[in-house]
Amino acid sequence: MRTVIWILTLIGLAASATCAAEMPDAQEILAASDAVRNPGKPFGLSIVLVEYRDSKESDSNTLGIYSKLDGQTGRYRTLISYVGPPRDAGKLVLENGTEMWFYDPSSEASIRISPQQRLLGQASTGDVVTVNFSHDYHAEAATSEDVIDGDRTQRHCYKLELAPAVPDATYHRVEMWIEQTTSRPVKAKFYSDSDHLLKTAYYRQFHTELGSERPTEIIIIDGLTPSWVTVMRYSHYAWRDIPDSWLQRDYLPRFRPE
Amino acid sequence: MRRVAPVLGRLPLAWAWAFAVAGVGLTVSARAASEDEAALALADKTVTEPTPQRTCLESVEAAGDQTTYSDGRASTGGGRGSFNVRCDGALADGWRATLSDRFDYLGSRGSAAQAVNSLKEAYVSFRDGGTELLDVGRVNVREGAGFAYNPTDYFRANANRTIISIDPATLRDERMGTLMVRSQTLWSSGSLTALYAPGVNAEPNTSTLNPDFGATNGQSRWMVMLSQRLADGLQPKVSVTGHGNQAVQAGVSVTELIGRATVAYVEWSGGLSSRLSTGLTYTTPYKLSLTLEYEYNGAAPDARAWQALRTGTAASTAPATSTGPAAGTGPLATYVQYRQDAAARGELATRENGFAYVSWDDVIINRLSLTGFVRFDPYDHSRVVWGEARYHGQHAGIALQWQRNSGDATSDLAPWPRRQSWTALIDYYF
Repeated sequence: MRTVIWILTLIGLAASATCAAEMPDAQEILAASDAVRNPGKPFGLSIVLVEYRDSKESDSNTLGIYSKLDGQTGRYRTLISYVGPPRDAGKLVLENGTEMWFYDPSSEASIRISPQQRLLGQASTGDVVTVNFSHDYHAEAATSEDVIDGDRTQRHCYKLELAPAVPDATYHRVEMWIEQTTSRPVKAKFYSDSDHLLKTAYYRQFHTELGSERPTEIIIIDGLTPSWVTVMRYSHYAWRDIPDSWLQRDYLPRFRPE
Repeated sequence: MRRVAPVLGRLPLAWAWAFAVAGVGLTVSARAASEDEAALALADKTVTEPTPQRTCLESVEAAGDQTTYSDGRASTGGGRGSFNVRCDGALADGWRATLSDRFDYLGSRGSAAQAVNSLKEAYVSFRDGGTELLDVGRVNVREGAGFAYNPTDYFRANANRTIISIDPATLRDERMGTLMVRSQTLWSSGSLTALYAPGVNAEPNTSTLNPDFGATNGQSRWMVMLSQRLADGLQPKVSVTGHGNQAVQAGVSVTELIGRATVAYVEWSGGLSSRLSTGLTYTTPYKLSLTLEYEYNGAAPDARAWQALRTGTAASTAPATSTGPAAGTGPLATYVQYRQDAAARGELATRENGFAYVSWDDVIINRLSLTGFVRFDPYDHSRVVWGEARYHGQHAGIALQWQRNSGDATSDLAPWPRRQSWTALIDYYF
């Protein structure tokens, strides 16, 4: 009987070891997904945001984005340039962690704003800036789950539970589904401090941009009012030479889009 | 058995509860899937085309207003048509040119129409490698973290040819720059700026197309500004400025984030006298922002001196900053001249003011914003309240503005018989 117990124990240990080997580290999964979304070198792109309320288009914006990874902090610094509509053209937002500045060419004034200030209709600034989730969040668990993606195709995914790893992380909790074979982000749900669903995001339209397959469309569905929908289309990816001296308040009056 | 029987008795209820919970869960899940599908279907139909960058942006605006008075005279009406253009383009490798201009055609019932052009900016820039820059021409140098009062904004005096609104944001937008040579060096954590603005031998000129350098460059001035990041999110700006034989003025401006929703700021200038603007802006998750600001001008009269000045009982108490000949004669001549001088310099008329500003974007519907402020003088308890409702589309917008001044005839914020005005505006961005 003792021999049988030993054999069963060994079989159990071997099975657990096999499972552990099959399930990669959750943080590594998250980092691989970040690499799909974010080019590793300084880059620029265009984003067109179209907002819907109750199925009717309510607003649209065109933005130029310039991003660069800060080697010291592990975060991206992002400059957002308003291209359209004409009323807003030339305005800038500089995002460097929680330090954010808004610049209006009409007054030549740079005004410090808080992360809570939203300048883009339904979308938050955090939706358009480049985010390294693996820096801001700790992936606490990874499980396998099949989920329907933005193209209504079933994907075999890792489901990650993300908890803030830095005090100024935007969300209290994030659920993220990442395709197992490609590390593509498929879907994410973002929660408030009170654990209410703030928004659901679908990542789709993967195309080769700057050497990798990247999502070129993100659909954001408001958690409280699901009929509020924002479609974000990414295009015109390009490597950009972005000196560090550009990504600070004093450069904003000098910035000219390329 | 006596213990088991009640449990067994509850089993059907437990099963019913379990089925109910599962049913509600499935219903919620199905509804979420349906909502997601509706959103994805919208995205499927979305057609987008990025807006191209433009060198020039133009806009036009038309406005009509109605003003009522406290002295019994009939209300008056007026109108305005405005054209705004801003261009920024490359001239050659390393060289750029910037032009910003505003033309206003102002009319009011019972008086002749007036046309005023404001050349806001016109300068060329040279950059060497992106971090060494030189500007020559009329440049709008706007400094300071304060919201409505900026002690370190040294180039604001006489900069507005027309006042189309008392909203601090509009005053900043519509002011003229100063003729100057400006150089700037940038590094990864700060910048150093030096500028020289020559005095021109001219008086302020009100003719329509005159660039009015006499107003903005009445005397030679210089300024040096240093900005350096000291810690994450902390980058104060220190400035030193002077002109002629006047004592050098020094200033500092700093902001700090408190939590995720509040920005606090302090702006101070000293030298001839001490000036201060400090406050905070809090933003709710619903796009509602509230700013509270305390403003101090050490050169302006305190409560007792202000009372003497505005009652004409102590002409000798007129502040040293009051310059030029007295406007008219009589016991209030010094008061009138002082008011005009303080307004032209963008200074507080009394030593202290309180200011509160509220803005709320996307109220009820997208693109509808409500904005308002109240300015309060603690010495004579006068106040001015201003509000605006504005709706804007991709190109066109409409707005309704309201302003009310409360206080007696020689108070800080209601000095004239003007009491209330309404303004309706329509604008279009090409």
